[in-house]
Amino acid sequence: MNFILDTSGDVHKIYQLGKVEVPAVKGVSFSIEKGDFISIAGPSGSGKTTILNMIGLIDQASSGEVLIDGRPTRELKDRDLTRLRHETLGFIFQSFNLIPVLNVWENIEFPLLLGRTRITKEEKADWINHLIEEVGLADHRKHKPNELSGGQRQRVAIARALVTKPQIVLADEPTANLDSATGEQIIELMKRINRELETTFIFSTHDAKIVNIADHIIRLRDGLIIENVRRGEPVGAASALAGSSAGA
Amino acid sequence: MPVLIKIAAKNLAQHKTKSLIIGVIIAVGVAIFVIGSSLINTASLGIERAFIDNFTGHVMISGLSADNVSLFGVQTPGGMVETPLVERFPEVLDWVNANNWTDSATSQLTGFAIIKSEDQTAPDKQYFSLLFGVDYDSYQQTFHNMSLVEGEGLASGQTGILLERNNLEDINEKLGTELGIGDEVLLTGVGAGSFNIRRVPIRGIYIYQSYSETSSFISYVDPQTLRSLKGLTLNTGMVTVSAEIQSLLDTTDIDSLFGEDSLFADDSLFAEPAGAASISGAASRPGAAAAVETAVAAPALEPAIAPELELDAGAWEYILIRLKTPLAAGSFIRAANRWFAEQGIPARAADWKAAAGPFSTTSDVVRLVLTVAILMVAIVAIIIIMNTLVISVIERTGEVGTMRALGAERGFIRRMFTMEILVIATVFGLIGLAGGVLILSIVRLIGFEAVNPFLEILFAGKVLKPVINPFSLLVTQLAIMLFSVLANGYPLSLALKIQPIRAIQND
Repeated sequence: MNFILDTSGDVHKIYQLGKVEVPAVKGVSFSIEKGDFISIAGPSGSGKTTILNMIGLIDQASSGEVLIDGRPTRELKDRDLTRLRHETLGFIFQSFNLIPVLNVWENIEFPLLLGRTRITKEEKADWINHLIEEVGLADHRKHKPNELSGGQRQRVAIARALVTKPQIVLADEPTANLDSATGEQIIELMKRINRELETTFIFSTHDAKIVNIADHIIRLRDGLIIENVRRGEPVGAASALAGSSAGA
Repeated sequence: MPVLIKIAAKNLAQHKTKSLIIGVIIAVGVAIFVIGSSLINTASLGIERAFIDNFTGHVMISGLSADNVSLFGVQTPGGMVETPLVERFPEVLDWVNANNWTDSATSQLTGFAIIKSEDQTAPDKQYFSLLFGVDYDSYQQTFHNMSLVEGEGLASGQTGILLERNNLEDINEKLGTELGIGDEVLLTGVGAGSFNIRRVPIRGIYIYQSYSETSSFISYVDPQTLRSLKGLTLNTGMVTVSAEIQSLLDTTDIDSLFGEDSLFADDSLFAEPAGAASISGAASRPGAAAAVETAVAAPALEPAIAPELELDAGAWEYILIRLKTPLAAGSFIRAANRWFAEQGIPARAADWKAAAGPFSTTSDVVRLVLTVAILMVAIVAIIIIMNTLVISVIERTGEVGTMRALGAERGFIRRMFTMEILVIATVFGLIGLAGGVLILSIVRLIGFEAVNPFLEILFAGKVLKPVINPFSLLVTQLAIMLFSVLANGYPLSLALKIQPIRAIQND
């Protein structure tokens, strides 16, 4: 089976706080298929964000390896990691992280300005407009982030994450700063896009209601995977499908 | 690039306060720089123009000395070294006049004298003056600053003094006299180790077209008078002193030696000799005091020694040259010095700066002080800008981290921050330029007057007329852009160190 994201060996992450070593991830291993809609669930401090950072190539594992589309990433230089992030990954942040000086349209356009992808002006405009309509912000194209509600901002972030047509979108607690109704709408939106564009979504959350929307759930506790299950499949089968699960 | 400019402009608008702080510093800095540069240029150009047009010409030829020779003498700390003469003067003058670059040339002697009057009501008062001994006709052809307002110039072979109008007023005030055209003054100079006194009539009163405090100290005399004051005679050896003279030299009765009857009994001693201009080569400075003392008392003494005291009418200390093309000065000087070396003539050609001596040094000092002041302002401005930018980078850590996470390479971050500082430097730099030019224009319109000699040097005249040089403005704008980019160096290095993970950590 071809995994779009995989780990080689047990992945550990240890933070050095002065002379104290704090293990955040204590040896996890899993694989993700193209088109998956995955929830990484667990309480605060369980290692959700750390795992997302490592598979998002914005942080490096202390040991073990993250493979993107079969490609090892540990030895890549900063420039190559940046390009890989740009071409393969999309990010949705808990606090939206929109660029405050840019309006909705420009925020969504921004990642396209960073890469080397050849795209005509018309194609770019069509694609951005399509995404804006897809996330329901057709009437807010010219609005600045501070003129939008939290849910609207996160919709902009979703469109921005999708604009480069990445294979994987990583969302770190995308509903944490939203009320529950809006949070559910956002997850539904992500799910719809996942079905329509076959984009792999990996999101972290500690909200039980949202976790259950996912097709594939990885539960963490104290830096270890305690459950790795695909909806409708027995736990054992899901674990086998997703590779070994340290501590599970 | 347009996207970067757009992001830069939007960021600057978003962070108005910081942009304004940096912008105002840049604008004020540029305005100070423009005004300072203008003052420096005004002073430099003014001094250069004043000296070239009025006193030194483009090139000065002088005799050789171990120390620098200026139009005001040999530049030594003690000021006791005699100014060397231009040897083989006629040959040198012929070479100068035959040169294609030469527009006009004149020769000059420089000395100092105390001016007194027999009619002064304040007998213990005296007036110190710088004397230029000039060939009046060629001097007038070379320099046009002097305008006679009363009397006449110095005809060839005629003794006399020309006084600047303000100078004459000062003399009259100080000595308690009412000297005017035709009145005589007593000039006392020091030459060959002794005092020499000469009585000359005031031939003319002049004004400078561009007056300055410095130039008002200058008075013009006929060259023979100055030669006599400086003791420039053709005497080349020891004087044979008779027993009668020796007894006078040994006397302790000063009045019998320096009484006016003895001093001015016979003016023939100082008369311009016929064919004086052809005399050359044999000039030398008698070092013995005896000769000069004899010059003072000679008419009353043994006539046999008089021929040995004949003034050296070919003795000149400087040849001052105006060129047809000022830019040719360097080439002319090189050619002249090469020719002197080939001919074995101990002379040296130098530019106006060397000729202006201490005055050009003053100009350099003023320039240095202003430059240092401007640099200090620039350094302080850079530090403030740098600190403000550091704060800005720290505040934008999350934004930069997000950009990095989204795929922005370090080059993009570098270009973005550089573009931002360039936009500020360009916009506020232009505002500063406009402000500086506006202030200078207002200053020019008001026409501030110099109230002391230092300001006169700074203003290059009585009234400040700042020079605005477009090239200097362009250089200023480019310089501020460069300084801003340099000031951005450290903050930028901080921004480039921001890792993508900071996008998460700043949530």
